[in-house]
Amino acid sequence: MSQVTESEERLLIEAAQNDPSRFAELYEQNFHRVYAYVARRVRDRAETQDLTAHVFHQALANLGKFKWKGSPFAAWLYRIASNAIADQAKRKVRESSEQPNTAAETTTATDLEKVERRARLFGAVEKLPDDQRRVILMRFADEKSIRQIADELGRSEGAVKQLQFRGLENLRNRLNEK
Amino acid sequence: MAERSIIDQLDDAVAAMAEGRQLDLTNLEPELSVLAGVAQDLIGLPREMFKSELRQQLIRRDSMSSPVPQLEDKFTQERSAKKSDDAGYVKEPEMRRENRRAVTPYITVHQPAELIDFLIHAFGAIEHFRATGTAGGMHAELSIGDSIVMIGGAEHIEPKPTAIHLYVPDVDQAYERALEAGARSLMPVADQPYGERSGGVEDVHGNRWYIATPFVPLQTIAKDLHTVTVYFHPIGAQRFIDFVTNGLGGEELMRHQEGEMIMHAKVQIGDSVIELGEARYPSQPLPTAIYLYVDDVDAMYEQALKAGGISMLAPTDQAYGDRNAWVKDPFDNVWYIASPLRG
Repeated sequence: MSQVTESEERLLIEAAQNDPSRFAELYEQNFHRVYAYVARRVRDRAETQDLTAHVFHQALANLGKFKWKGSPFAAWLYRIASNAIADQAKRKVRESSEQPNTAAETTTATDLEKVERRARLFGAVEKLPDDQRRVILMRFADEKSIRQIADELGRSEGAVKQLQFRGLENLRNRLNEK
Repeated sequence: MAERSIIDQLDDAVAAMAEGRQLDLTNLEPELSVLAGVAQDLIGLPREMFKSELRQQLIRRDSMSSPVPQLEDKFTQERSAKKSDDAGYVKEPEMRRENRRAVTPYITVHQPAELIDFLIHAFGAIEHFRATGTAGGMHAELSIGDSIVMIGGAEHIEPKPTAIHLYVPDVDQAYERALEAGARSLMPVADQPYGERSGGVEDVHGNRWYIATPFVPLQTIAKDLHTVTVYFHPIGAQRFIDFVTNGLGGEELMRHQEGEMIMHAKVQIGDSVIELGEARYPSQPLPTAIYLYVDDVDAMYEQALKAGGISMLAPTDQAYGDRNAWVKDPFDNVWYIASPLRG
């Protein structure tokens, strides 16, 4: 996730409003933010994926209505996500006796800072050297054990642990660069 | 006892987090504590395939102006709205020639009758047609779920085993029944990170069946797929995609790449989708045959040859009611390109 300036983002939004095929650029800029925002409130991976997909489909469908008022595009996406999460929670309550978690409905500035930091971390994974990136993805995204990864990559468990360590070190350094 | 290295200690922490255990990071050495903190934030890292598939959906949706998908599980919706057949599939395929899909796998084996029995027993296939084919072997047509599979062959005909991604109503049951019917396991049934519960078997004829039941909404994993999808394992996946797009009018829907290697991709051909991944195992590339319905056989035949295909049969009117041309692609797959004859 590379950072864009306010004026660059504004141009991207206008471009996508005129030509929706340009939406892909806004998607790339904001995917990790939306995913991290949803994942903070929804623990289940399948549900996080569904809600993230829903947010971007909604955003694309309603892009023409978006008006630039000085706040970042991500804030608009967060609002869509927040509504979708609340709707989902209400639906669950209707379908079961589960109580809604109202504490989770409020978002503080600190929460948003955490979301942004996590989004930068997710984005930084994409820039890791290939062998480290692959191990980090298999371990944290595909949720595989060190042994499974070692088998699939044809390497020793020690070598995989070492790559995991180097990957995490690299990610820490990249986060500290900001 | 020797002290565990920081690398091992960090992995212990990651393993604990992966299991959902809460760790007190303040108890760890400072260096370790910082790295474990990074790892903690990575729990739940999004999958690359999800990100690339969603991007493809958005781009395609924009070009097709389709309505906003809802959050319900389309698979469940479809299944509850339609009556299942005895095997649990929801849709009967239409056997009439003019209604067939663009892509139908044509599996050639030495003993086609045995393969048909296997498909009926393991996957609840229904046999619709059996006759002698043009090469003197058997030609049969079966349905599995919403799709058609063509089966052919004889002792004197070279077999062409095929890899198929097959959606079934109950993957555990289908896997067990396939093993009962003599198949060997390629991969036991397990929940997969990409949203399916799936397993793999190889039947005694060498066909590989990647059987699956989706457990997340199809919206995010497989909205383009039918019950039966042919899975290619070419050597040179990029060149194969180039051939299918340039030579057969295909359109790439998505790809998942690791470095330069295409691990998984989907290409739309007409109203069908094929899947592929670079050949990585000794059993691959596993070239196969496809019966491909198009609007204009002659034009597609010329297009396929221009893209590097080799002619095995120029367009010819056949007694079975199709105009047919046969083209072998540079990867040894044979494409039986066809259109129904009018009148």
